[in-house]
Amino acid sequence: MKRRWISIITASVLAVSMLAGCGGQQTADTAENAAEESAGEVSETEESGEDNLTKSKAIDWQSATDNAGNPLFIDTLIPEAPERPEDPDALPETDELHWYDFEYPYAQVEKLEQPESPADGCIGKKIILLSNGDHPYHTAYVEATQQACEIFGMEVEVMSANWDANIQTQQVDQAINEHPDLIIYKPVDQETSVTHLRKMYDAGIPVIGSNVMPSNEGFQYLLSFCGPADWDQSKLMAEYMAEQAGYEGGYCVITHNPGGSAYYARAYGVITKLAEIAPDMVCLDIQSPGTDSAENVKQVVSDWITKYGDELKVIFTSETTVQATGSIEACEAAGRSDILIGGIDNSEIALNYIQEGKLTCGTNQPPMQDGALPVLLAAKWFNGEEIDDYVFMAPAVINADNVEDYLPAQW
Amino acid sequence: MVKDRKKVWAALNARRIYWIFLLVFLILSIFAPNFFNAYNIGVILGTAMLNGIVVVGFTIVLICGHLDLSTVAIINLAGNLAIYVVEKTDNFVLAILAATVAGVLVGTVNGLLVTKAKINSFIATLGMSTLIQGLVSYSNNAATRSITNFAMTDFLDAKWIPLLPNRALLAIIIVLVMEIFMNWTVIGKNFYLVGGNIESAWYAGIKTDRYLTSAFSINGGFAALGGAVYACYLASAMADIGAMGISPLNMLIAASVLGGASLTGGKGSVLNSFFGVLTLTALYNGLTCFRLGYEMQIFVNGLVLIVVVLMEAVSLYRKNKLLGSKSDLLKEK
Amino acid sequence: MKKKSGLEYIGKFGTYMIVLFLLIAGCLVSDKFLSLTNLVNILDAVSYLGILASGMALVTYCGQSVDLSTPSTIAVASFVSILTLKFGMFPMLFCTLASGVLIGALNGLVIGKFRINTVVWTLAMSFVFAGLIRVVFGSANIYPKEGNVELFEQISRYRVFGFIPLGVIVMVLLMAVLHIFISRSRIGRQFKLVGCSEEVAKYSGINVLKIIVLSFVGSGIAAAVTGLFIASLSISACYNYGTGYEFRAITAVVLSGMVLDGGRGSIAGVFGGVLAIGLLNNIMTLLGLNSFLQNVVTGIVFIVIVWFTNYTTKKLEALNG
Repeated sequence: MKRRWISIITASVLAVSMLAGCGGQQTADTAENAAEESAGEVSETEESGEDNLTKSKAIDWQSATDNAGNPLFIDTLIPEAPERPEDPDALPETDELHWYDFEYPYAQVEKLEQPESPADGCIGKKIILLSNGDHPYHTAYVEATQQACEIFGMEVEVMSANWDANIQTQQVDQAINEHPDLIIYKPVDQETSVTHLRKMYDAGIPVIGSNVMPSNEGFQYLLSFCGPADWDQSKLMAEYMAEQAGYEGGYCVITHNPGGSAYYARAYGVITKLAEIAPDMVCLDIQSPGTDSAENVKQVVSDWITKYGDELKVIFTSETTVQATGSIEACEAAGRSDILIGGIDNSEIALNYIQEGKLTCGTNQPPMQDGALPVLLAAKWFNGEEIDDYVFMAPAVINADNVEDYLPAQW
Repeated sequence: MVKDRKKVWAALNARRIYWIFLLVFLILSIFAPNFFNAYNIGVILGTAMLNGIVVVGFTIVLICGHLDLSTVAIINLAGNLAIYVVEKTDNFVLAILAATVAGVLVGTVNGLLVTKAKINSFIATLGMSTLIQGLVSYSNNAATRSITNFAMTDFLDAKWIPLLPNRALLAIIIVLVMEIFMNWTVIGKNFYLVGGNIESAWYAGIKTDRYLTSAFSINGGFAALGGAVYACYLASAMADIGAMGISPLNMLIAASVLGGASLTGGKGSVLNSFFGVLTLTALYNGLTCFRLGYEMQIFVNGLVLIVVVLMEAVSLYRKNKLLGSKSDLLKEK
Repeated sequence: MKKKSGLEYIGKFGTYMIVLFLLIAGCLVSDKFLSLTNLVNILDAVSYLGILASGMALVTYCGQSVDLSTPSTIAVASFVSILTLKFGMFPMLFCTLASGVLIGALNGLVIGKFRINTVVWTLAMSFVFAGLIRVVFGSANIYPKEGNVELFEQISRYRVFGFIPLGVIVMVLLMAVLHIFISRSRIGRQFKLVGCSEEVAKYSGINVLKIIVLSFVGSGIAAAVTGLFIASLSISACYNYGTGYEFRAITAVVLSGMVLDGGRGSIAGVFGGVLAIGLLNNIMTLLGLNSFLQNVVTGIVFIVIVWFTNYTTKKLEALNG
């Protein structure tokens, strides 16, 4: 009994002291901060405000290159969304407009009032990058973000949520707590992002979304969004593959991880495009063996080959490391070199396979340019320039003819 | 003297989670930038909400000497169900209730599989986990369900008590109530007896099967409650929150073991496990303050776990060695 | 008496009855099911799982429940194999296996000596090694740059007689050797005794610690071989290459009729369990079942089979008195 009392008392004392301590600290903190801020503002505007802006605008970012010598900041496009149908869900899944809300979440958004740009130059600003997780692609992405921030004289700090929405929730709070000048936000999950964005908006911190599109609801809180045009690149791949396959034959699709935006974009982008341009091509099956194990993918593709035999002409993969490897191995093992395999993205593995002729095509989704883009937008905003509500990286198909242009691989 | 030292050591070990918590908290407060301030403490407490509620039931199952691997699947089931109900009725209370009932049902099935069909709990719950997760993913084609009603978000983020977000308050109330239930009521104490030695509990006239089954039901209920409240807070429910990141299951096991629970049963306490969750949450938070990546977080998490487990094992090993040399004779005067 | 022998039969060959049932079901589902290529595909698809499960089975068989550190061991082994490839084929093989032996020995020593709960300890080890890999290599893919990459690629691609993949040969050989080792050798029989009762084993003069260490080393080696194959298949190493394998292996082990308390079942049974998983997956894909529904079916089948085996063993025990 005694022990129990002691433990409960210790626990409550701990909790109380913790809270009390923090309370005291906070009042002191805010007072100090306020004093510092006002002091800082005065000196900045008087001495270096104008100066900083001119310096910031003079930064030569156009000539910056990535590790392969390609421009770090590439051309972007602003797609135009078609008219939204009355009820997208009523349309068949093979109709492009069925996926309207997935493909064009940025359309028909009435943006909330965004924070005013300080217009005093990007140099010396602090940015926090809320990354969605660790992955070879995102390693290259983060490197580019850091490189770009260095170019613009900004300070960037990275928090990685490791694909965990609960951890990202905590990191959103932590980021707000550090009062950065701007947050670059890569959501773990499209829908969950809304609550996160709402919180950051309420805290008055401008947010630029990147890489993964938030849902329609989330776009209203965003200063701007930039990222790969996922739907466009899968449609582009579908066009190229259909041409290669002669607009006929059955095809199978391997999806990305369930739940992410890539799951829909990379599977249904292909399916809707093919239904439109190649009505003779039949979708035989869609499976989600995941992105962790080439062995699982290999098994699924082997089973497809058994089941569909010569009907199967084309395989679309949503990723080119594990999924392309598994598909290629299964086809080789079955002696089916006639099956065309197309994958999305441009990993080193993909580029090697394209050179060897094992992969018919990949798509250009350069992580470094992806990571540099939001920094450019942020810098422009700090400089008081107008920025677009959303911009996308122009996609491209990588095939045996042009693969040389994309070497060496970024990840 | 030797005996006293041992007693002190045992007392320290029994409350080790508080020392570890204090240590972690102190070190981070001193060294981690932006860690020790009111806002961030609120963040830590708030983040601990999901795992803090879920760990209650999880610990009770551990106290009974079993492991429930389907906990994460139940969290997902409850989240999706709750969001679905809110979508249809706009009623949060009904949603959370419905989800909790579903969780209790799944937990009861788990319990019956273990007690009536006599399947090892590890295996039974592994199978249930695959089954339920499959159903949840299938129900919405693995898409995240979401609502645009943020009433619950605002309510849970509000602070009725200064510094303490309501979601943390909710977790703390649940933990305290269950701690009192487990320690001050006969029913609660019986769980410990069942877990400590199921045979002697049976001889003592305790309906062991009923207790085991209800332990799983309780776990199902709290996992579902946590999952549902969390989903309402985020205004969305992912098909599988543990799909790509580190599964909450690992966090739950680590937290309860830090808190003194053992997988062999009979040991542990709800409050201690909650502090285990708090410690790990604070650790993750602090490491993020240092801008250390997630890799460092799992690494440190593993190290802490290893140190604690080893410490306990070595002390037990020494005790057993003593037992071998007829230590009970020493006790006789 | 007759009933008893029938039950005994089920207990012993239960998994193979499932396999037989699935084979018949497969024939009904698709006329392409019984083709040689499909059957080889099924074996090929579960070969890595089979290798891993036979190691995991050793741990389970000697009563140590499960080894959850396997995903990290797989990842570590895949990194070691890629990094040491430049020293040549045999040094690479040696180092990869050594990494498995080391992790396994560490697990076995700590668990055997201090009687720590296996689940907790191996989980903690899994955290530490997963963290370590990511601290050192980040989350990048590591590709082999030097050494005989072509030969390395062939490990997972070579087909004996042109149609049997090397992985299948390794799996079958490993299982055969382990089966004979467990059922015929003196040390093998000690595994069973330790699995049945550590106390009894200890008092009958068996070095329990040695047996436990051996079982974990076996599991470590199996995981390392799996890691090697996965690295060779992907021609790269990445921190997530072992994800999910531990629970798949546990499923196979449990389907084989082994119980987590140890002492029951056989390695030959594990082969049956692995086959059952392969057949089930194959049939479901041939049926065109959605990936998520596949999970639902797997879960139901798993619970029903385990319940059934459990039921028969309990009945058997009751009949035996």
